[in-house]
Amino acid sequence: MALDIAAVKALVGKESALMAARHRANIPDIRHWCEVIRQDNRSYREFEKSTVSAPAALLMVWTMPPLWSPEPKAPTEPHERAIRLLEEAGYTTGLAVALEQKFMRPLKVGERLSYKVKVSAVSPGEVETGIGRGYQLDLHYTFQNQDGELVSEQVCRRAQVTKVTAQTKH
Amino acid sequence: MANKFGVLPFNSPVEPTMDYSKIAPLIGVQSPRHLPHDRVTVEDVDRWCQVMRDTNPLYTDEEYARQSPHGGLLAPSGMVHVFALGTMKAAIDQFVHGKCEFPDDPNVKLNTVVEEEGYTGVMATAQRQQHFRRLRVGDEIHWTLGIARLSDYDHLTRQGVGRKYQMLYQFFNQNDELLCNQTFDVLVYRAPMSTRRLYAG
Amino acid sequence: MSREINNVYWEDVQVKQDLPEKSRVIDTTLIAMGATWATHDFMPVHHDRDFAQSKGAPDIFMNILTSNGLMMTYLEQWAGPKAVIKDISIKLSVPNFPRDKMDMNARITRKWQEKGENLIEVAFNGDNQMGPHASGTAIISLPTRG
Repeated sequence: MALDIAAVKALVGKESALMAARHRANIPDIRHWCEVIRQDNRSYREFEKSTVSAPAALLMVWTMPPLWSPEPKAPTEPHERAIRLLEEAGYTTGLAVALEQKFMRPLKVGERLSYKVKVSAVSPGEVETGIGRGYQLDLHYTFQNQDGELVSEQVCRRAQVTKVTAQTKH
Repeated sequence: MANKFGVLPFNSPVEPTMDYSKIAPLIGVQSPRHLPHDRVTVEDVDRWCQVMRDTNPLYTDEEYARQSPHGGLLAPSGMVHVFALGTMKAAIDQFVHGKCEFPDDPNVKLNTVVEEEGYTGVMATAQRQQHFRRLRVGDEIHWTLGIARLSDYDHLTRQGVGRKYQMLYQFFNQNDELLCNQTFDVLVYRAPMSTRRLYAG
Repeated sequence: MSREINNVYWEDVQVKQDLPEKSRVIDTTLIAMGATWATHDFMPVHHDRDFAQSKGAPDIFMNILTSNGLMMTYLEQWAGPKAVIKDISIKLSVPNFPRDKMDMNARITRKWQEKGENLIEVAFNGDNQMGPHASGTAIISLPTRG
């Protein structure tokens, strides 16, 4: 299907509904993350004793869609629709290529994150991205806790390409 | 040893190819109680259910579970062993660098002996779990393990010449209640080249 | 949540009854996520293809906890949340590799009452294209209508 760039551009400036993270900020996710990223091998008992808030880099983790769900969610939010339009036009591989993050306050263990996503920009045409030729989408994430207190704002630049052409050493 | 055709009949006893006296003291001894790396949590139960595609509401629906006779979320019984496995770092230390988290456990000592004797391949072949009590979200699972038995002669298997041993795991919750007895059968085998060298001359 | 929840009752099942078959596509995601994410088994042969091949395996292969989990889930999804698996023995034969498909089936082999429980025994199989991956028996306590 040819790309309807006007349909993608029409989504710029549109923001999703507020979506709740699947889980609260929790010790096992923090511990697993620290184990893999920081090679921190302490037991959950140590984490339970000393962890007050989540490492900031985990915020995006709690927005990730599940691996499987008995009732899969249709892509209805503006950013999901923009990605879907690009995918349907053959730009099937999506990858985050840049991330800007501002943190207003830490997310405490036990708090539940909510977030909304705004399509803030789309490249006017095909561009050379870090992973090949395609389109760039800028997605603006706003994170808040369950009481509406702002936790973080992030801009994720996403490349959608037909084929990954980045050079590898192989 | 091999017969004149250079092959062994399946499962036939042969002359001992390893020193069993190093093994004998390790049989029937349980390790000290170990603590898990994670409590049983909704997040870990959710991961399991997504992979297994399990929709049992006792595991996934807090409200349903609260109103059930259990009074709260459970974890699938098969997860009992999950919390006894080491962290990623522990696994890399063990499987890449050969450094074990609990070097004094009987299975670790056994593995050292059988590896020295040339049985370098390891494979789990069977498992039995007897469940006595449900796992609850929030539980802290303690466990012990030991070697129940090791075959005192070689078996000819698809993988090569090997020995079978059986581990016994016992899982307890934080109230010292027995949750599950689990046996775990492991085949250790000589990599094919050394098998050929040993048995076909 | 309003999903319909089915329970199988002890009175309604018979010896020699077959459970409905189910299949599961075995791919790299299921093997790697099953090992690491679901069952905390970080032995590299279950998630690192290069490591698995250096050990002589053609590819990564499924760990026993995932096999056991898939079979227990298959049985529990059929029996419903009121059933309890009391005892399960599982034997592994052919490994599950990526690009396999595992067909799961089971048959009721015994039905009896003991110590106030209403029990059945099932014999189950999980087969891939190369042969039997997992087979075994399970004792399940079922609810009664009474």
